[in-house]
Amino acid sequence: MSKETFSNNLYDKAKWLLLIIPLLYVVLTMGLPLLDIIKKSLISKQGFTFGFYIKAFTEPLYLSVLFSTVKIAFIVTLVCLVLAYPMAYLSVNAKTKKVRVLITAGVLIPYWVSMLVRIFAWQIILQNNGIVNQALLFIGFVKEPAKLLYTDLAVTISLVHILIPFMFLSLQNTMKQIDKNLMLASSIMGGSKFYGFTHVFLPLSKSGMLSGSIMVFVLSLGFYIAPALLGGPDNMMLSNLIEKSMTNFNWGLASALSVELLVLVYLIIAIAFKLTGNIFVKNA
Amino acid sequence: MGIGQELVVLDVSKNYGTFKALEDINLTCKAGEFVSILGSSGSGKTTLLKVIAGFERCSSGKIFINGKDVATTPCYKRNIGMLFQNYALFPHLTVAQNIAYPLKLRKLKKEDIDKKVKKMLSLIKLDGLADRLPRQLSGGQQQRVALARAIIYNPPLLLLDEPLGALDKNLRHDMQFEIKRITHELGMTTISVTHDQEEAFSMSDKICIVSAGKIQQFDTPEKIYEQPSNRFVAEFMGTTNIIPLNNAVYEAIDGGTKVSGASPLVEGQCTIKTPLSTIKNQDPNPFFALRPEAIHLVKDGQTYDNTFKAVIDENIYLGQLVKAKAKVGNLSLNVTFSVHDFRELDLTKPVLLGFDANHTAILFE
Repeated sequence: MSKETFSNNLYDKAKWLLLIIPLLYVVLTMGLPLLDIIKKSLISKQGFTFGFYIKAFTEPLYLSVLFSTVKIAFIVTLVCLVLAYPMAYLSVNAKTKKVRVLITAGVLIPYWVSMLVRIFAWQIILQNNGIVNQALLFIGFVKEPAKLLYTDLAVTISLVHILIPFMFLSLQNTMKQIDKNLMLASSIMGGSKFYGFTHVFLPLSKSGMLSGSIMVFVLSLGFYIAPALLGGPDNMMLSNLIEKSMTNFNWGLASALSVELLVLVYLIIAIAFKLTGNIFVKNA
Repeated sequence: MGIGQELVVLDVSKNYGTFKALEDINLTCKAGEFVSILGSSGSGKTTLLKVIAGFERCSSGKIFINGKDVATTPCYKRNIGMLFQNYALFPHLTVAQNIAYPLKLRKLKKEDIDKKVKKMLSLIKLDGLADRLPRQLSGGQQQRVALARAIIYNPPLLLLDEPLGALDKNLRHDMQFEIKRITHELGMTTISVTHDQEEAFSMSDKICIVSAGKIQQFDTPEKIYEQPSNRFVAEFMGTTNIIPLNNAVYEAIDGGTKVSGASPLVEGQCTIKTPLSTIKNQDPNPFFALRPEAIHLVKDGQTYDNTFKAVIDENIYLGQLVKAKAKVGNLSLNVTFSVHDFRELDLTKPVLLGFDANHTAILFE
């Protein structure tokens, strides 16, 4: 055996050794509890059962929570994409450095403020005598304060606010890698700025749009604190339903719903990987 | 007649704040001419290209393409072709789609586009690679695709930004001929920005030397090499010797002007000639440029207009040639000898060297 293959073997072994510590950590703190959750979701006092899953997927209330969770996550993702795209575009392409830095700072500084503080801020802004309702009343758009707080709208707004940096950073990262000469090339060949944007820039920023969307969608699906504080009792999201089942000591149902959320997230990630996988190959 | 059109750059200046990137640039490229803009980095050559392309507005002046002022026309309406230094191929489009991009923009019929792209692919010898993505091509292939994309819509003016900068030496040589052949065949007016003298010399009809945002000389390669108009150009173009001439006397002669004066190089009168017949600024203390290859070893029976004795040292053997330094008083000249001559020299004694008045260039500041 040559010396080189020997040291390679040693290196391979050392690599696995290094992995063991984090692997143990993940297995002990994530894997085992997860197995316990799966076990709890399948076993009732009467023994093995699919009852909790059947309940989770047939009870109209639970189904509607699932549906509205996916709906809110979808809307949040879409709004984040639409709002973050032009900001990310400017943060990369604005002529003066001042504008570029200002936009990036504007998106990131709120991100460093505690999430709870921001959610409480939305409670104050959206309440019946909050600034939004006062403005609406002042311009005569509504006759009496509109119900904004404890609605899907409040949850959506706060989720967009909290998650938009993820979309922004993902888009910005992709856009930064687009060679500026490409747009110049398009324009010298006769393409207007708009033509260059739709035919060159937009297709090349697709991978950022996809990875940002996955991140925002997956994070919104499992969001707990914003719907708990800003959503009403009728607009629960999946994680709130899980919490409620837990406080009712219905561990089986809570576990089944948790597994449902987990599978949903993995499904989306798998689909997205399939989609982006192609894109990554194309643009690599 | 080709498709090329005349480009005239008239009194163009470009300022960035108080920094003058370009100052009163005047340049005329006749239809079908290949002109290189040569300068070191920071000379303003790239700014000039950007202004001609329309990526940047000039602060003042006019740019005429075929007699029409385009100085304020947006880039995408100027109908110019450009080959970018890093090729700027669209990474998400195939070779064929890249080449078809400007044709699609011009709303040609699909059959016509396909036909033209196919023809172009065979012109650049990439027939089988139409469906490849740019990153699947070698550097040379990518450049040929970029060139194809820049010329497929027959732009009357083609701009090249450091066209050979990113290629290795052998490819460079091939592409040099390839670009020259294609642009010449189509009769395109071509402007190439480069810092590579060899590239500029081998490809251009005319060379424009830029430094500090100003044109130093705009002339044929021969003229630029043999008759540099000022000290900057003489020193910039290859190796030369700059020698002062004191108390110069100007005398009109057949086919030019004879200048004689005292020089630390030559004992007695030093005479040089220039093809310039009228010299407005008769500087009494000018400099002249003397190329190493114009300095010869004086053998028995040979006469030169000027001769001088020098001590030879610091020689570098280069195969056929030997580069050396010839010391005369405080002056140290770059000289070259053939290997044969050099072997017969007795380096312990001063040697007699000479040069003809015709092989010099008078320089003005």
